[in-house]
Amino acid sequence: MSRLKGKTGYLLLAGAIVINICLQGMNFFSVNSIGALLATNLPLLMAALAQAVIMAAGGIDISIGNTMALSNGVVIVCYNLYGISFAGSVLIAVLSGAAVGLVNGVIIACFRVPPLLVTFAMSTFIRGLSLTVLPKPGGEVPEAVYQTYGGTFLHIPVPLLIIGAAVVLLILAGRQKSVSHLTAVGSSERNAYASGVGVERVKIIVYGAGGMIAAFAGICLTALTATGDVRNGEAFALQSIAAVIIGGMLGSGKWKNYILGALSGALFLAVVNNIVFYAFSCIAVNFPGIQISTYYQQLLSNFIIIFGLMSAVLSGAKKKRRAADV
Amino acid sequence: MSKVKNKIWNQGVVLGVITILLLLAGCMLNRQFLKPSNIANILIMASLLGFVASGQTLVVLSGNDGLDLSVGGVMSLGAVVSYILMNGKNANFFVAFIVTLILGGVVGLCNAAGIVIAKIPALVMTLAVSNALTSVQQLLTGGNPKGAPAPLASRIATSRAAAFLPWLAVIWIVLMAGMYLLLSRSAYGKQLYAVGSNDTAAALSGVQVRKIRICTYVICGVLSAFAGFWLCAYNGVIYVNAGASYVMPSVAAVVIGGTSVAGGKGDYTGTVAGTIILTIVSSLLVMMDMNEAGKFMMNGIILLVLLVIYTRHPKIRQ
Repeated sequence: MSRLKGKTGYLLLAGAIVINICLQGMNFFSVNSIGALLATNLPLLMAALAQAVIMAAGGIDISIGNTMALSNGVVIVCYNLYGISFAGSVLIAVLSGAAVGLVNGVIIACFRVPPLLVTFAMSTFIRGLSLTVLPKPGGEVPEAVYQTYGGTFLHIPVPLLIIGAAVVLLILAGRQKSVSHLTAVGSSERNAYASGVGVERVKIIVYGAGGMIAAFAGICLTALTATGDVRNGEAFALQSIAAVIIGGMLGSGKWKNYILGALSGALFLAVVNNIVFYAFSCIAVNFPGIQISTYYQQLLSNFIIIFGLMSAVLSGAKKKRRAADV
Repeated sequence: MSKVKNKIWNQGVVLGVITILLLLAGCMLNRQFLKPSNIANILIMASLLGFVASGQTLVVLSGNDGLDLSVGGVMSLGAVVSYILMNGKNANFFVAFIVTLILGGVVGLCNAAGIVIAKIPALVMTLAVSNALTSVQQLLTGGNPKGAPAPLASRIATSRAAAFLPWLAVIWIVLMAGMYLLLSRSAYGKQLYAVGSNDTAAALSGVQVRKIRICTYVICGVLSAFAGFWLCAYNGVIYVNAGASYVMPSVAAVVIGGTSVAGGKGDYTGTVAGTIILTIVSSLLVMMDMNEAGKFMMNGIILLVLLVIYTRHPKIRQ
């Protein structure tokens, strides 16, 4: 069992992919299929990376979903209403995400309020803010953006390139000294403080960076939906946390593990949705008489996610039995 | 000891002052604000929130980052189920009531299984369960609930015992008394505080930590379903996820009420004050004719300010 520790994310992902191949056939590996899977789920993957960065430092951010929505709204409004170029709009959106993250970080670090509650309150505030920015769904993005997003470059799906680049960048950033400070804060704040790490500064930067990545996830969402709707982002907060936990790397203390774990957790969630979709369409094809409501699809994927959470946590936490578990 | 007492007393004074200031502000904005009918309306809204927040108080008290974000889901499920089961007939009142409460307990048990046995962080487990509950409601109703509350239930939920005292508030007062007895007089309450402040110490002194935590989530589920039943009775018309807007205020009421998020410290009296403050604030916002976006922003800011005032941890070096 000890060998499995911390690897449940990969195992679950592998299992899910095998089941998916059984249902979908070898088509799963076609450029189109992988491209579509990644294009649909790139916002989730990026959100999971943002959450992983924050959770590696021992925090948690519930406002990620709403930050994504805000960045979606900001891009659309800047591009459509104020006539700023798309690249400029993206820059403004990323800055707004970073600003949200910094506010979170300052309140959490300087006023020492539990991150859960701060980001909870902030998510309400940001929901209002994004509704002010973009009250009604609408707007558009240049055609080139969503064409590129859904297309391929040298036969490699563009979303794969984006997520690959993000992961490589984050892992390379792990060589910086400041990132080792970050994981130190995540393992034990008190010890990090005692060894001279500026805990408050680290926290503020971490939340700022998380907000920036979340804003980028929001831009991926914009490229995917090609329109603006600030009610789209909210579900991502839970999913990103679930992805990091299913990744099974919590408490491992290694930066690379956090990033790869979150990635595998998020991919697991993505593949599960794929599986449920194919399973139900299989039933629909083979038993034409049976009508199944789409609500069952959602329910089933919810249950699989809960199962994934349980297995990830169960295999990770077995060794840490305390007296309290009597 | 006297220092601790002082602190609690101070908090009570602060909460009281905030309430009075809010009421005065409301009075200045609109002379109708202090009319008995308006006070009664505020009390009805506060009672519904108070029911949910009572369960939330217990969960937060149990410590270990305890938090139940599925209260909204359970409340919605309870409202939908009682809506369908009552179907506008008084005869179905008690059946619907009991079934609703049992369902709430079952969901609480699911939460407890994930949190206490599989050790999933409470936040994540309850959010996941809450999502699952949304699907369950949609399955039950096909997205469009059909039914009606029993006339008896609607009468209780909307009529008043005295000029400014609705029957729902009377039920709330009974619940307050019950919570007081549960927390300060029963063995469960004492063990809950022990578990919340230090579960290892509690386990070593013979408290069955897991049992207490499981009980807590079950009670929270039952109380949320109870709130859902009365939400259905009060609203008359129920839609899927009708209770979703109660999640955030329930947590906020507990925190504002001075219950420590780390667990083991606090009581229901504080939560009651927090509930009343939040309800007055939201009715002020309604009266100021603020749009939806503005309400969200105000709520967020108010909550942030209260959090900064109330839940500051000591510095690391202390």
